[in-house]
Amino acid sequence: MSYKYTFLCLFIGLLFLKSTKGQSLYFPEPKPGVEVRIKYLGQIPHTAKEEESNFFDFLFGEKKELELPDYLGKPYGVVAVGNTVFFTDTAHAIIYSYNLSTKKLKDIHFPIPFELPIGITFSKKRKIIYISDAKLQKVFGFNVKGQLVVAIGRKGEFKKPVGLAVDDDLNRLYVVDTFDHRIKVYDLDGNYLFGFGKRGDGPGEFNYPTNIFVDRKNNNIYVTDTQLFRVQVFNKDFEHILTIGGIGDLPGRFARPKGIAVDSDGNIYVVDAAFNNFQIFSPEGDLLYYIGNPGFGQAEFLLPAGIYIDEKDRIFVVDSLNKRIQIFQYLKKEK
Amino acid sequence: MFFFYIIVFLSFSTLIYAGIEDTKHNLAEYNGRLLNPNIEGSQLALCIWCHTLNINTSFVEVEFKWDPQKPVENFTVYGQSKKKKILKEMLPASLACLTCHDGANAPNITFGRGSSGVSVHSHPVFVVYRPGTYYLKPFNSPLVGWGKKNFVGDLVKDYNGRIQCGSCHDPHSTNKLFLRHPNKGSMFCMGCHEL
Repeated sequence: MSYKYTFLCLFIGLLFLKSTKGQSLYFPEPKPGVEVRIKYLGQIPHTAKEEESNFFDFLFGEKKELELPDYLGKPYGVVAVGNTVFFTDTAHAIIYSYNLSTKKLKDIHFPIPFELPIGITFSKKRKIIYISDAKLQKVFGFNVKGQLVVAIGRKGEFKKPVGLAVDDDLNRLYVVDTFDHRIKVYDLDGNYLFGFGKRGDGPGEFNYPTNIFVDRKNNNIYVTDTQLFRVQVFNKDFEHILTIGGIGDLPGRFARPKGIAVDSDGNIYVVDAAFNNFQIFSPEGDLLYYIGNPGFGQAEFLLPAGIYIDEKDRIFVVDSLNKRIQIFQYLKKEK
Repeated sequence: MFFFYIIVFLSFSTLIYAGIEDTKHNLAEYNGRLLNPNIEGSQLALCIWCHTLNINTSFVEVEFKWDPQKPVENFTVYGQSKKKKILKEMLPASLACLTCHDGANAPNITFGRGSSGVSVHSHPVFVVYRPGTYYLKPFNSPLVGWGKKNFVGDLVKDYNGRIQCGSCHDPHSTNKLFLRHPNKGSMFCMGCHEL
């Protein structure tokens, strides 16, 4: 007779476990003596609770794979403008927009037939959205009506433009030319100003750099030097300040660093596609924490790519194989 | 233990090294010099671009400043974990290819259906190999000159019955497109497909 009670207890226990699982996630895990810094907010496109598995699946631990939307291919770059999130789809060569309040996903029609759109960024000052196309070897700028206002990339100007970043204070648009191992700087109208970097392993030299971000506070430039497994930081005069990382599977090191972004406290977030996570570093380069494991659950990633942090400290991480963007919130301390 | 692995690894590596050196998968060499990703030169430098260096956590002092009590463990690379299998159709070895082949570092690999319902990928991948369909040969058809792969079945059975990147490509090969066999006279296609 008693085994029935055992099963009943087990069943109730499992149900209880299951119900607590759906609560919001915090990082680091809340416990005494540790301050919570980051909160999981949700994902784009929005899906209702994905746990549709039946009782037996749940008993035997069979995890159902997510139903992936067909219309999304392989997202890479992301940028948030107010409540709208724009991201590039490298498989279908489409730019999507997603409204966080209405939860509507739209593909935007631009007057340019993209072939491989990757990088995307926005100038708040000029209200221009910049998109790089690695196959067309050009960078385009569109106004809010979707009209083409800037086009950069004469024949031979870019080998492969990938990462983009805008510095509104200094009127600069940064373009990472991955195959030229160089960062090219333009004004917001698309006139060439200067460039820095060449192939090599010294400070200020790159080996296939991909992504870039500009700190809104101090105008520092953060570049992921993907095929040398490191991140380099420069000041606005392009002087090398800091290098983070190196090869290895330990926290604090990288295997395939991609997207990079900085929050309002200057903490550096680096996405790693091989580790399926993003690591967080202090402005001085000390390891603070990491978030993410391989998988399809909340705060789990498969081949993450771009990252963007907006002025409200919302963190948008592109989760390319899971065809979604996961959103986190950095919980800033009042000083 | 770490050094044991290195020795085993080195004994195999010279063969592969000779192949990969002259291909696009040699990301280390520039102007006749190996770029240094934090380890002392040597042939290992070419391998670690994909075979990520495994570092023993006890050798290095690392802590998470936000949570110093959190135990420091090695990351799972390419989702390769003994404890749980993450994707049923895609192997970690294929994920490794995709970490670079994203359109930014290397040519973009896309798969699955496009928005219009047509395949955006040239050849089906991560699908089950079914002999008989699409003029596919049976598993026991012999392969000649395909290195260690002696039968068609070896191309998928060594994986999970599905076509992976490694079914057709060997990243260490010197063949065009890193194919497992040169495609002169469609010899590559005819490895699996009946004429």
